[in-house]
Amino acid sequence: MKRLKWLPLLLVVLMFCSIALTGCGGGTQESQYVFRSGYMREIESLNPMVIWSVQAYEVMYLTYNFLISWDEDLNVIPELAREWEVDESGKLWTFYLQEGVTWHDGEPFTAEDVKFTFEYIRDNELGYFYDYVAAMEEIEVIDEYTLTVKTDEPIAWMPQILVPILPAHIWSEIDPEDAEGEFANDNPIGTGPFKVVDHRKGEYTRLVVNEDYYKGRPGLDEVIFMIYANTDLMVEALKQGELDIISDVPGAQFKALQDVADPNILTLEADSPSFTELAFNVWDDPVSLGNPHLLDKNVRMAIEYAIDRQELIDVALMGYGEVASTLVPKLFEYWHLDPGPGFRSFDPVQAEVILEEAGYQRDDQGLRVGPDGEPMSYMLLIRSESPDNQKMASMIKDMLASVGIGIEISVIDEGTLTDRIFEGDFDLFIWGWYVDIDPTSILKVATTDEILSWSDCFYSNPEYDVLHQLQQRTMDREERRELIYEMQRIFYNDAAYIMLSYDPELQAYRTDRYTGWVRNPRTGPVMYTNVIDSYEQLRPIE
Amino acid sequence: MRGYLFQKIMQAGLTILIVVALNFFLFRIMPGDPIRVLIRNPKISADALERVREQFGLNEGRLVQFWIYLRDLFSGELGSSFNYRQPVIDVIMERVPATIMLVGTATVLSIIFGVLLGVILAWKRGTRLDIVGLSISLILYSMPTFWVAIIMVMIFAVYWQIFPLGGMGMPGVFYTSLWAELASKVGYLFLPTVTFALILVGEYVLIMRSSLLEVMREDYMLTARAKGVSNRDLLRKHALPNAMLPVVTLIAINLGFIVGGAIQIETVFSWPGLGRLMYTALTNRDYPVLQGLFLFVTIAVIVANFCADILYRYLDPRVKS
Repeated sequence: MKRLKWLPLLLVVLMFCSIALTGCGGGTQESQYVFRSGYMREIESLNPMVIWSVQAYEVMYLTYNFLISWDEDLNVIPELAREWEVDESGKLWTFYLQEGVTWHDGEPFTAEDVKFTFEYIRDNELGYFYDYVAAMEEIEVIDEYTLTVKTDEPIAWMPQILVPILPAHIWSEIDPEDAEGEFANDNPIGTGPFKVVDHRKGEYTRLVVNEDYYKGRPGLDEVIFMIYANTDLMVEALKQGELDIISDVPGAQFKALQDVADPNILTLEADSPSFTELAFNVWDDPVSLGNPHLLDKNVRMAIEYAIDRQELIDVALMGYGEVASTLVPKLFEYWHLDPGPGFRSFDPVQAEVILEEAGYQRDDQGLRVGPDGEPMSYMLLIRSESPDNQKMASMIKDMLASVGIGIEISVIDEGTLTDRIFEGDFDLFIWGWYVDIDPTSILKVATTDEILSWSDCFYSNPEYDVLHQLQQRTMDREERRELIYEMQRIFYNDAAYIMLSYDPELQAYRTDRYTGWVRNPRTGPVMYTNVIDSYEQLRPIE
Repeated sequence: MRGYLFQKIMQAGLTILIVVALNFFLFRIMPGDPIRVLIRNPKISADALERVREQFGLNEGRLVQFWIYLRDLFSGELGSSFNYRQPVIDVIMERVPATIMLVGTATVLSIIFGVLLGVILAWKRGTRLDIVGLSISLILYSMPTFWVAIIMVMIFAVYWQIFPLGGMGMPGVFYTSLWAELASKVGYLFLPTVTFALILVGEYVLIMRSSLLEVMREDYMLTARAKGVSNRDLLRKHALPNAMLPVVTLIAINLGFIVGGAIQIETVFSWPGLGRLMYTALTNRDYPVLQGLFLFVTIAVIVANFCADILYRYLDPRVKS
């Protein structure tokens, strides 16, 4: 008992000693060029076969290479494939690979690795990558650095095979069941510019430079992704110089950063491949649990006229966004179709006219009643994860009330919403998509084949489906673009989605430590873009 | 003693079993199919779907699943996380040190200061010191956790910048000496710990003070004083052992709950502990991890209470019989 009396005192003294020491700030050094990026979402895994978040993909892009990449105009450029050609049938592709590339463990990279990767994913139907290799009939190694890929039909998006090339000498040992299961891949071996050395899920993921990177050693020595649980703290860390970039700043904090105008912090409102849409349940099937009114195109078009998108963006998104129209975002300038004069911009009078003509009359309370005698009252499902969408929803509710349409809002979590969508148990919901560089995958979402799969509005139009088949097989780029324009036009005219906004990527980064930031695509962000130009080209300011 | 111990162990075991069963069925009756979270790719083939169901044991009936779960539990197997695709036990154990460091230090600090202050205030009851101390304790006790945490960050990490903003350290930094590394670690630990300790300390002061005041009014205290026992011994030998009982109970209860209850502190300070894991698991519908965490917290509460029961026997002579 006697000795114990001193324990608290001792503890306090010890504590203060330590504080004094930290206060001095001495004893630490950062001998290398460390680049830190702040994330709010954890990187769930390093195994490419199970990841799904943008953050985890970013790590994958730094660790692994793909056969091809894109320049700032989204033209396909060589990566691990130095050259490629396709025969006249459009089905036989020959890839000539980079020579002298080594894996992080020193093993040489060869055509066998590419063949293995494609076959491994194809035969085991792994992850999201399966779509890119499903059509590959035969993969043949010609020599160490040449291989041919034969597809069952001509495929227009080739050679944009978005599959990370895996080392055969490592993955051939991995049971495919584990590849989609508990294989952690904690030390991923790729050919990329950085390699993971330390992965602590809730804390940080640390990558060091690949000295032998085949495109030349990057200027950074380390890239560290720091995980924050609190946005304000993360922004403060950027201000204090602990972070070099925040790739995804929420609107409120972004505005604050813009207002403060720190000369060393650059704020970038970049075009992004994502959009937010209001989706209707247009499933014309007895099992659908959606309100049958919404199968009427007039109702959907009237709703579109009644919604002031610019107002939604200004208020709910703090002005960060652009009024959207068609399925392919503006970022993809080459493929994006502007509907022009056919665009249904905010016009509540027009909305009322359409509804009146279609037989939806107001009752004495001002709520409209359909020709079937049922009131125009619909349930709008919103993700609890998105405060922005919730704000949008309550604004939409008011906008629609003024034209006589009743909306009930229900906020549920993403998982539950996914279930409800799959069961066709909804009227409307707000969510968004993150679009691939090639428009095929987003266009495919609206095809009939995707009902009960990727489709979330149960849209079905035979004309659209035919065009989709056609555009996938059309090897001429210009010709293909016409088809894709037509598809966007048809989908827009049928109004199964109301495209609310093309969402920008709000990024903030420090300009006093590193230079060489690359926006790719040209109007896009500096990070998060399927390309890693910034990471490769950043160099310290001396 | 042996009979008492046996009885307590049996009680604890039974409680754990009931909670395990509740945990299991609670998650199963929640709406939604976990397979959707497991496979975010709707394009998956029926074969592959079946494979994953089998892999995660989702193809069996509820009762069979429960039986498998129980069997696995006894061999220390908690299943596989849907989100991280790692064994749950590994996922949880990875976060345990961070939480123990934070919660442990804060608890020890708050107990020491809480009990000490409580005793002083009780001893000096009615004085200005007592009034000031009591008010401060009440204020601390009633302040919302996240609010205190944010204020602490604003003052010490944003305006004065004498402490780091959050996290457990700065990866990629090298320390010139072991001492410097240790100092840095303590620096990162300081703010969250002190915040947590501040939140906890008020309660301990209040309980300790009122409990001691009650004991001091007892007749035997008067008797002791009459016998000429010194103030020191009066407090240490006669008053404190009895007055400590409610505090021990409180500590036991708190110890269990704060393992999972540090969510707010961990979120504000971006501390990678169990509380945040729980939150992440909840948002990702990662049932196996949630189940594992609930089990972990349950066991912590029960073990802490078990220890308190044992401790009573030493503190309170009445329990011995």
